[in-house]
Amino acid sequence: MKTQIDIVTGFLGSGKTTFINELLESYRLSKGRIVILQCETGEIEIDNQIIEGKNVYLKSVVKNSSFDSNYISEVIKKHLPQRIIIEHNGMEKLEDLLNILNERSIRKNCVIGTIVHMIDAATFDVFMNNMGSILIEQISNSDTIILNNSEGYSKTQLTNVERTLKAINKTAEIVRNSSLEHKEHKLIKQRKPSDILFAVFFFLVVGYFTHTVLMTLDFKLAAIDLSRFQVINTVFLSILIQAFPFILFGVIISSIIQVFVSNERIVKFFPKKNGIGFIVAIFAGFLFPVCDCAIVPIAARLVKKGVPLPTALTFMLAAPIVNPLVIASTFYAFPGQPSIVFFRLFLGIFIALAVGMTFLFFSEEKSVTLNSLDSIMCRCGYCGDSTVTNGFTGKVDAIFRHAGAEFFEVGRFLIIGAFLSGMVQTLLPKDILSNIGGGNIVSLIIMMLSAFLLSVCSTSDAFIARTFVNQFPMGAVMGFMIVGPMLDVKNLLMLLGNFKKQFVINLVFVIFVLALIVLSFFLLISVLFYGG
Amino acid sequence: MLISRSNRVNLDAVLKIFILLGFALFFFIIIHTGKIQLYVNPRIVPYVKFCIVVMVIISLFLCRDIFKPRRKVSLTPYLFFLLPLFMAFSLPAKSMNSTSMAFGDVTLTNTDNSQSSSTTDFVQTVPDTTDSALKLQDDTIFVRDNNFVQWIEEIYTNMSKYEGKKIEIIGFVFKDKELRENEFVPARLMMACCTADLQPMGLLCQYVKASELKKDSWIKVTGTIKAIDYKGQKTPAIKADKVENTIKPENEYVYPY
Repeated sequence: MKTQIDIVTGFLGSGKTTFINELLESYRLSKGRIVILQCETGEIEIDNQIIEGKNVYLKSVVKNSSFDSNYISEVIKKHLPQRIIIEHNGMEKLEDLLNILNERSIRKNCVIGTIVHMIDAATFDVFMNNMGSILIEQISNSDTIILNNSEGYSKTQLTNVERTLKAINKTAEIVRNSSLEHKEHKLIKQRKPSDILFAVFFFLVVGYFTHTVLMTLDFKLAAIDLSRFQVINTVFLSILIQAFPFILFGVIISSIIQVFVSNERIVKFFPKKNGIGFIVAIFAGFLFPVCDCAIVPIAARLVKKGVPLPTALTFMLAAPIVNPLVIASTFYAFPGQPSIVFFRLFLGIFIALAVGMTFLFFSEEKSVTLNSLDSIMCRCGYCGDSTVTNGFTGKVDAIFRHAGAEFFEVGRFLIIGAFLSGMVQTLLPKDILSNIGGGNIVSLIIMMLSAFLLSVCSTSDAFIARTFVNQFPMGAVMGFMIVGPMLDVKNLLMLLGNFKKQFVINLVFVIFVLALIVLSFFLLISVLFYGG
Repeated sequence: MLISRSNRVNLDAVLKIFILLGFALFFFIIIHTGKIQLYVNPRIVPYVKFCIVVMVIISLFLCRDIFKPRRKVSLTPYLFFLLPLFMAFSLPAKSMNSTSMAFGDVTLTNTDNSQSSSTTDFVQTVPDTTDSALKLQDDTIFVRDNNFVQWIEEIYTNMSKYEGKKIEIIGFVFKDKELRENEFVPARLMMACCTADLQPMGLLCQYVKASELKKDSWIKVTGTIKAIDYKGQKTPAIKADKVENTIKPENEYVYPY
């Protein structure tokens, strides 16, 4: 039987020791022999009364510099514990501890059980703003996050905290205001093997098996059954094949900027005066070719660093459209029709400016940003990752790693989009679509909504938009290409993570209404250029 | 088989490398076998090659992470990548024709109307270089794979210049309920970017025995170009002298550039 090692992390005063005390008090946990390794001592100490008479050994390693794998091995040899609970020092990286535990000598005898992160709701925001990177590192490695001291907080405040936590660590369980029973249950619970992976393998194996059997046993039947699906598949893959190079190019450029250009330099770039600010905001996108999903945290940071809100918004909305990569991919998706590229740019900038102006006149008095961290909300990649970038090789390394991470983040949305598009292409009777469409406002709204839902990265959405040309008027397809980069599902999630809810609602409303007005006007005119 | 949580290898990195190399291999195979033409315009091929190189480089950089076990690994995102990869390798590419795009009939109806409008787009933009490829041989227009789109556009644009000229064109028989008994279109599917944007394209053809032609069969039409009145629009058409069956061309699609 391997020794199970549980880790309790969290900043000083977050309630780690109290939590361990509670655990020790519980009956079930204390059946076996337990060793507690304290790397930190705060105001509260492990209660001797609880330990007494039980098989619990307390070791303080606060000032012990030789806390390494040998030390743990010796502890195990000496006490033969069933369980080790490590109270981790909240000021240190959890990864260092995990690296120790991952050494071969430890792995032989031990298994890491649960990592619990304790958070004091009262101090979370303060800590997050000042010591974000350490906190993020610990949270992202945790299995369970316990939100202490949450009684005095309103629901929305707590939801905000939880949203931040979810953004950092999607898989962790967040326990709020829980009873001891509940907490204990979390820690005692045996970890299950990953069943998702198993499901994937199962699916692949079964799928491949069925496919092979069908193909050999009754080729004709299988061919008929699969033909429709094959068409979807071909369309789907063909969208992927042509979009992947662009996505990869995009993530590499974005990574280079991430690694070589500091946020501070970007912030300095924006003049504080409105007039010039708007102009800079529009053209800044040329210089920072980031995708629409990387732009939200940057815009939020701009606002926090004192760039006026209207300017930052204009930048946020225009950048994904004036992005050189987006221009290039639009040009390739609509070969020989540079007018489409021009209109996309012109209308995009126009709407971005209009939204910015609207917020200039109806300026928000209060601060609109959430007081939480911003960089990690970007789902594009590891923007908040504290990658040590030393020297040129280190930077090249960082670029490709970042690009890889970003590719997997962005690619997901592209794949979903391409698949839906393939389905629409193949299965949806085209006369229905063209009946709905037919040059009116409804087709424009449908296109705007599908842009919102498909959430395709702006660097490749032109290819998807291209596929709608047969069914929808050009003006409506333009709506797809303009609204998509400004607003979509993944963008909205990030907006909510960075800005206050009321502001996001206002913003979405303003973007949608302005885009609808401008684009319907364009729709009427575009019939002249592109026909019905 | 149980996969322990404290696995020695970093599942996250392994899956990423598997996916990246998987796609790179798939791209390599389709480029190598030429099947890529069933998916995308050949113009995209260099980009796909670039894609292969980048994917391999990224996976090389990821290799170092394989033995750095990471605790929190969420596998669900990779499902999105594994499924298309699986589909790519298990299902052969389907070459489209007007029947396989069963719902495409309506699109095809539109083509005749939209052809004129889509040609006007190209009029402004088709580079001059294509014109040099469009030369008459013995006063006859030979419409081939590599100049199909260019010729059709050229004929639509400068109808009067080509009226009365002889033409030879290869395509599949495209019929539509809006066409009359003695009419059909020797058409090709045009791919601007990828399979998702395939569009039939061709010249209207008048032929006495048009009703006897089998839909989607490949034919070679020899005839004369003349301008006819189609739905109130002056449209170039072929008056067919001879229609004979022919074999399907190696690449069924034609490309605008």
